[in-house]
Amino acid sequence: MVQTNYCDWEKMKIRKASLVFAIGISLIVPASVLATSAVAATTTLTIESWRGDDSVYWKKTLIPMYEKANPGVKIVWAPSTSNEYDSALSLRFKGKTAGDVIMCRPYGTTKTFIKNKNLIPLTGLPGLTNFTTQSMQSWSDASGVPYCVPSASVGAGFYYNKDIFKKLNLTPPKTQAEFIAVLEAIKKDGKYTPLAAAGTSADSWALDQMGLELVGPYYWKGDAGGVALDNGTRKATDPEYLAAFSALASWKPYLPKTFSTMGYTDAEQLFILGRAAILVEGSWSVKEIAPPGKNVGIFGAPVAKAGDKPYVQVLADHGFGVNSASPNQAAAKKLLTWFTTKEFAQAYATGLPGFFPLSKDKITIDNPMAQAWLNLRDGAIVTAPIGMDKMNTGTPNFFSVMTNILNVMMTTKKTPAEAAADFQKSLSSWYPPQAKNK
Amino acid sequence: MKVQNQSKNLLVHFVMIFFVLLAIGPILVIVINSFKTTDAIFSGPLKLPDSATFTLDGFKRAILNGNFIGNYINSTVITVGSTILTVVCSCLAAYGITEFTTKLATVIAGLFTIGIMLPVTLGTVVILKMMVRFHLLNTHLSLILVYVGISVPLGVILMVTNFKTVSNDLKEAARIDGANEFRTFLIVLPLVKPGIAAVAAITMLPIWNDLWFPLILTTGPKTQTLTLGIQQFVGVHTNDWQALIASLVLGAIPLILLFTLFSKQFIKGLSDGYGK
Amino acid sequence: MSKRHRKLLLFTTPALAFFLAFAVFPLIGTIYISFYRETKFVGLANFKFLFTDETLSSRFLSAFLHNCEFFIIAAAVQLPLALLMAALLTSGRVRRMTGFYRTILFIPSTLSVVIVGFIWRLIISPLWGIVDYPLLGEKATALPTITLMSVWQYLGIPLVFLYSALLAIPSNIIEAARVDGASDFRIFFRIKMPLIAPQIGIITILTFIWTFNGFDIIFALNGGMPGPDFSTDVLGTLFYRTFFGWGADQGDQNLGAATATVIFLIILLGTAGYFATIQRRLKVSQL
Repeated sequence: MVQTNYCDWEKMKIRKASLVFAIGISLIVPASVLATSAVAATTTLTIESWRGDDSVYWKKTLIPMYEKANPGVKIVWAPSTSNEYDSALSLRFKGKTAGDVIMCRPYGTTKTFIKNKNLIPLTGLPGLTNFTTQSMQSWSDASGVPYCVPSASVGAGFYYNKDIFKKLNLTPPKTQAEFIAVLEAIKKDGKYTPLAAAGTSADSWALDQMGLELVGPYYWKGDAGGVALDNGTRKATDPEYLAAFSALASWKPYLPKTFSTMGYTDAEQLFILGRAAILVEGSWSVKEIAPPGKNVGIFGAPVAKAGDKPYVQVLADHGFGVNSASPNQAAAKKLLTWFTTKEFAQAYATGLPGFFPLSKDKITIDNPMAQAWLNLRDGAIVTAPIGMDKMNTGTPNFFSVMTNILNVMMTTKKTPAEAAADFQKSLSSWYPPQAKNK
Repeated sequence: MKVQNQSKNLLVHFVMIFFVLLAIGPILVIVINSFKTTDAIFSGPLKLPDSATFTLDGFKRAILNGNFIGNYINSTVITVGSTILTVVCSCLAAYGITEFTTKLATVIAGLFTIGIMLPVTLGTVVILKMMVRFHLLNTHLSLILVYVGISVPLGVILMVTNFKTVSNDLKEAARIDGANEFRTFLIVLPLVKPGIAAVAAITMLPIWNDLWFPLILTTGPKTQTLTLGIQQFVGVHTNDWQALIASLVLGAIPLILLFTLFSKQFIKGLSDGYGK
Repeated sequence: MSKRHRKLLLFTTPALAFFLAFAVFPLIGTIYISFYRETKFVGLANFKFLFTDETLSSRFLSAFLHNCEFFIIAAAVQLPLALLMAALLTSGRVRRMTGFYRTILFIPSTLSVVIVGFIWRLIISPLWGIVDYPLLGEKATALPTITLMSVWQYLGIPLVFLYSALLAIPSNIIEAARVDGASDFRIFFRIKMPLIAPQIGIITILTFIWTFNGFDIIFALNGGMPGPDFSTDVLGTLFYRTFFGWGADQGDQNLGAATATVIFLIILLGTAGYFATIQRRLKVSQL
């Protein structure tokens, strides 16, 4: 009978299909369960971080260094993208899926995690005495209890192409007038872009950290200027801050015409390719911008009056803390103690030039460009960026508001006075100590 | 008359070719550049690689970078798993709706019709809470469950139009032979193969390329999908243009191949179900 | 009757279970928690904050306007182009090349937004590409540019849909018209288009829903705080930023739920309004 044959053949096919399907399902479900259950014969510590860029060095050098000395401990380096780090970490804390060791952002965001008891206090941790109280400030609570071990600081400044400078007979500027003169000369020559910086809105953080916070401290007199804004005793439209906005705005004629679509990597690329003469950058970029063989120099933020002491920005960029929900707190604390040692500091500085360990130990910097960054501190007043602490603990906050305003100021016809006014208006609406300065 | 027809035909061809170039041109430029050295990419973006500038380095580094293979596996597991489950559920439901025509069936069909247009991502806050509560965060399962839930409405409706084409005679004959409902279903299944292909294709596409749910529900490299991985790779401040472009190309290939090879079946499944 | 019901439910339960649990319940649940702050019931407080807070309310309004802009450009460009291509493909003038054209035209739709964003950003980059003007960096041109990228990417979908619809038109009607001496234009505008009008309507409303729910390409290009100066911020990115956070901005699940609820209402009203007025008029008698 035709129908019987049809049924038989179909039956076989169907049985096969159902078998495949059943196998498939029975593989997928346990596979995904297995993949997420911890198969721990040894203690595994996971490190949360936003420094995906440093992954290679961590995986190839730093982690093996510790694992060799501490058999039975396995370390997993698990970075997230910088912009998503804080929100993803917050979610992981809530869902109890955060790693054991947490890389701490400077100031504001970490303070929130401290307040929510996501990190454990580190009082009494061996090795913590290796750091000054000042360097631990951005990771301590109101009573000074530390929650993160500081690891490295970074700076900001200007790279310049020595060959182009030589060709155009220029020397690195010390004052604002000299700086503008240098930029003018390069612009007149016409062959190179005078100044490269990040102009896209997605990279607007750069215009703050390596823009306003680079040239500004000289005008608002460093840390004092930050405290004044925090307390509400000064407002952003006061002359010293206005001068800072103006100093930044003075770059505008010398940035490329299509600045608004130039991202952070585009700016770097422009300088690397030799099409831009000066690049404003952070010290962490030594490996990319100034590998051996490149004829590159550094100069710091210009002063207004010749002979004045310059200010140099030093930002305690990151530290490491322990997740309060981690089941491996003892092992995590042991790792943190290693982070306080000279061995770690030296390895960090050597492999990640441009990051400067905050410990009291004397370490040797063998990378000449990293040394050049350190030399900027000679004869200068060291200051931290403003607005990152008390103004950064809510929504909106200093970071989101300032970065946007700076980006608008630099890419449109907005004047420094308008930018300062916009910032003050926004600040007074969500920051209580400034509410009276509407 | 014939000459006029010829020129009209040519005109249409020209227009189509223009659109085709617009569609494929940008993609070809990227593919070409994925085989070149960094200098060659910047100095002559539109030039084909010659023996001096040809290199597979970008691909090598893209694959070895971090989690590429892991991401690929994750994407495959999630996409294939979701697609299989969606197809199965859709076929079952569609058979039921077309076979047991009652008012309830109409209501259920209406529910799924509305479901096609539901902006599911707006429910993410609760989906997130659910996954946290059941410890499913950072698992393949969490994504599979969500994707199946989103994809069944369209799957069901597509299969309903396909099942409607099956003649009752075949089903009656099977029943007379003593088959129960499920067996009848299995017998009818091969007849709606084009529909199954269409549902599989339509389900797979948005899942493989999805950015939203992996962004929210996967919190680490363990379950990171290929699309998310590439987005993060692009987002990191990297100067490795070769690896970047190579990873984009590698990420695009699976679906391009799938849809090019099976485009006939896909269209057939859509129009078969459609026209009736 | 009950036996039929039971069998029906047996077959439809798997699909229904997934759908109700992971698509319907979350939406209802979102509306529910938008009336709470953590575990405390606060009524409309979240909504009040959404509409009265200086920063948030202005962002919401501009995001909404950006979605409208996105939708109008998408509908005005994508739909006619898809219709044109579908019409040309079914005009009978391309014969053997039909499959080839159709396949190639669909390929952009198989790409992820990451790839699409990267390719086009490179092409229109004043630094590395062929365009001189900073389209993505200027407030006035950023959103339209991204919209056109999205149109380029998703053109294949309405194309395939309308193509199938046009193919489904019984050929005897077309033949009859040809015999009567009607030109190609006449045949298309007088006969074909009215017959697929309901499908055009469906594509339009689906475009509305997709553009108001849009997120992917803007996020891939500009992140969670899409500039320049929030000019590419849409309801989707606002929602993401509100409930998940971005940069130093903290996420707030209840506020995010309230935002989602309002967005849902907007889409609901738009869709309902559309069905109540236009779609009904487009229902031409089926042949």
